[in-house]
Amino acid sequence: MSTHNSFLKRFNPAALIIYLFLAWFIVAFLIYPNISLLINTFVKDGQVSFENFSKLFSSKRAMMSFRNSFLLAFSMVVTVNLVGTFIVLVTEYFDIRGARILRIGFMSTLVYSGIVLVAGYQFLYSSNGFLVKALSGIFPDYKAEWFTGYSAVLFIMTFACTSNHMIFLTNAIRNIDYGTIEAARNMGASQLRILRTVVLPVLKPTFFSVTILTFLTGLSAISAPIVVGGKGFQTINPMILQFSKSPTSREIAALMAIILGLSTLILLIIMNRVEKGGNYISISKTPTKILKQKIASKPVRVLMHAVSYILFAVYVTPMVLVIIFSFTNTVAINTVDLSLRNFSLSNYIMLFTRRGALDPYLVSIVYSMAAAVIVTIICLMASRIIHKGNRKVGTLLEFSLLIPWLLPATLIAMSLILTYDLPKPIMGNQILVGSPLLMLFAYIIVSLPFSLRMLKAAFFSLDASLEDAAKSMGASRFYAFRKVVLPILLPTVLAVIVLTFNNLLGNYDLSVFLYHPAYKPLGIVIKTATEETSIGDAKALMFIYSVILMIISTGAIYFFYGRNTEKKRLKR
Amino acid sequence: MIQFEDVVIKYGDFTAMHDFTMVINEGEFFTLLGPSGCGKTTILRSLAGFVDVSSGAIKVNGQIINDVPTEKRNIGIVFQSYALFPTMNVYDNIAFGLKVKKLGKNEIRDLVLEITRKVELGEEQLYKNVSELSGGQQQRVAIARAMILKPGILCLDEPLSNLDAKLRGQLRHELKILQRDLGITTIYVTHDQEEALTLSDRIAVFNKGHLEQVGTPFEIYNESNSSFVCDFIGDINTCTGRTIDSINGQSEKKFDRDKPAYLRIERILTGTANPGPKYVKLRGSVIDREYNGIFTKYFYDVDGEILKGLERNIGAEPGAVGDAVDLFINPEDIKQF
Repeated sequence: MSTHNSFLKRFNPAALIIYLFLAWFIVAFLIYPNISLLINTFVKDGQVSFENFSKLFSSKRAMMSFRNSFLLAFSMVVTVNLVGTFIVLVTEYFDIRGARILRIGFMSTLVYSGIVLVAGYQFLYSSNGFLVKALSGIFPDYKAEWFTGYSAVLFIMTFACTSNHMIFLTNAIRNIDYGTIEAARNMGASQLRILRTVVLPVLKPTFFSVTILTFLTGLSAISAPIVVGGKGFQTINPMILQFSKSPTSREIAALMAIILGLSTLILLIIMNRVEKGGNYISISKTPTKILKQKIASKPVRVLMHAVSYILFAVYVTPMVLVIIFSFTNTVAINTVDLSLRNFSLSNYIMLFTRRGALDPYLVSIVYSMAAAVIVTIICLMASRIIHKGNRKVGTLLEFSLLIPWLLPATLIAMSLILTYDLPKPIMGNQILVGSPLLMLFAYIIVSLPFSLRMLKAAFFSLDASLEDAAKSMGASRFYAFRKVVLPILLPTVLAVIVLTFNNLLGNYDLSVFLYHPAYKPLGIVIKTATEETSIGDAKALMFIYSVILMIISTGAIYFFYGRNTEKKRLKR
Repeated sequence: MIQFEDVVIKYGDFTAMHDFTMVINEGEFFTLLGPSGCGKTTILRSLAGFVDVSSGAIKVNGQIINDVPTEKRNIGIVFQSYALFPTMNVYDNIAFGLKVKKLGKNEIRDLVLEITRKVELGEEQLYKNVSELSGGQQQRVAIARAMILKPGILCLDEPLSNLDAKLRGQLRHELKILQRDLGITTIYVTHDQEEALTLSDRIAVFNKGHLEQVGTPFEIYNESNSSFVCDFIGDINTCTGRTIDSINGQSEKKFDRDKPAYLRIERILTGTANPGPKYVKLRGSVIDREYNGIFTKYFYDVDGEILKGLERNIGAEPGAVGDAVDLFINPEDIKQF
């Protein structure tokens, strides 16, 4: 009797609908497409077949792309770690003049990234770019040939991928207990020795994580090789893209995506293992804030300043040029001529006057906002279940929704393409390929892990007594959630929406596989403008698109991180 | 009246509370006391409806409430963290339950002002954000919020643990007066035995999911019925082997030398003359002392065993380390289980 009553007490039709919806979503978008991809690739006429392997191995281009991707990934591990560590040390650890300005420059990749960054670098360094034109008077022999193939891709990827260092390594350095540095100095250790034996070992786990992330980014690079890789340096993802376009080679594309996914999975598992081993946590009861170290040797000091400012220039110049050229006319852009007479607001006016100029914005904004809102709602429901519901269901839900974190964008795209190109009962027999909805679903899928992790953390940081208190005063579960829990979570919910929106707005990697020809998003339009054949107006609009994307990103990141910094300041 | 009848509470395979039966009388200030993890908060939460009982019945005024949802139990709760809603000001926090009940604006206002006066919270505090209040004021808001719905039972989950020692003492006294004035049945959870002894009409002591003893503060302190209760409540001497032999040698009452014998530290008397015929005498020497102004606590070495004693400060210089002392003990004061 008692069990029956408590079942009735708990039974909630709304909850049942939510559970059913989540179950359908997970099966339809996270599990079924991946299984279907595996079946498509490895099952022929009902028999397990490895025929695609032999096709793959016999394709010279495919094998070359694997070699190139791994070469790029390994090279990036060295270059990104070198540059990334250097810029973090000069902004956080050593006393370098103008460190605040330097930091802003080095952080610029947070708002200036992806296809926008690649387009900017190409505009600066390519054979008909700004640098060639600017240097032609001074160094007539300067050749821009280096800016194509492996060297160009590595160069761009190195400077584009130091964001992880700027976020995680900076944080790790700030958390070092200064007492340990003072203790080492007190015992007679030199600056170099302190850095080598006290500081860097503490940062080791962080180094490991950012190295893996860098490797993965290198492995799945897509926009840089497409734009500047040329024929000689194509990596896995651009190759998958090419293969996926023809029905005869689509299965090779799928197999390549699976191999890429498997490599990602293995590396992430290793990373997780190492992270579980634990970071070095300061055991000090009264940790002191790190003070910047003055570099004792003058020549070293001068050298460090020089390198810092050269790197600053490398980071900032493409971005500044994009901003400057957005205020010129198409003549200036085509001839790379920065004469005063060429400055005008014509491009910005064109954005609002030319038919269709605003379309990519509208498309990207609608797609990104819709995906951000939907993914946030899904993750809110899921987080709530993970937080308060049945523990087993919660764990299953959490693992399922984190699946996309383990999969490269290419694999997600391929699995959707290969699954929903035919009517499937789970999708109500609707064909998604060729429908504008396909890209929206993909945007939602890739945003799940970030959104879930942020919202779950917000739920778990809630004082559980708050909801209990509301209930004890007569509030129903829904009333308590609406009036007490949601208002507290609201700032996080908004932040997650804004950041997800920002992450998707300039998306290229997924969009290139899935966009509907009638609704081209920004990433695709910007990429098209980087092509040699693109006309002046398209190039001009690319600058405007890039500048506005940067402004939106800056706003989004300020909204997210600035708010947290403010909170910390108030707490103090 | 609240009755817990053969109640068992399990979380999966783990039994948080083993079978226990307990009655709480109308208007009583009843404390659930025990170390952390003993199950006291679990019992409070089961009464409030946040935790289901696995078997047995919880009755309020004779009605089984096992399956009554939290929001229908009419039980006010003050949480350890106070659980004040950070997105609402003081007024909205206090008025929350009334708004749930959809009372009129004016009625809500009158009730809020009335309860605010009762808990001695200044009216000027009402429109402040809860984070702007001191710990003591936050606690008053939490109590006001729980009391405004005129609950039949008030549950307080370690409400003083977040406050500093001085404020804790002051609020403890106010809480007792408020409870007496309102006459509401109050269940108080704490791990602080001093708080329990000073506030409660009756106390239930818990240990590792078992109910050890229920009684008035006097009974719990003076008539502890288990080693755990002896140990947990107040400061106590645990005598063994040779000390027990020495007592057995002088007294008609005999104790088992293989079991610990418990003696409250203030029951050991010192001086030159034997205070009464029942007392036995032990020789010891001071090995350490803690002077706290009102009392001095002494540590005596008695034949290799350390015993503690307490002396009221009457203005004389406290004894010095190394002083030889005669200790007088009444065997009737010794408990053995």
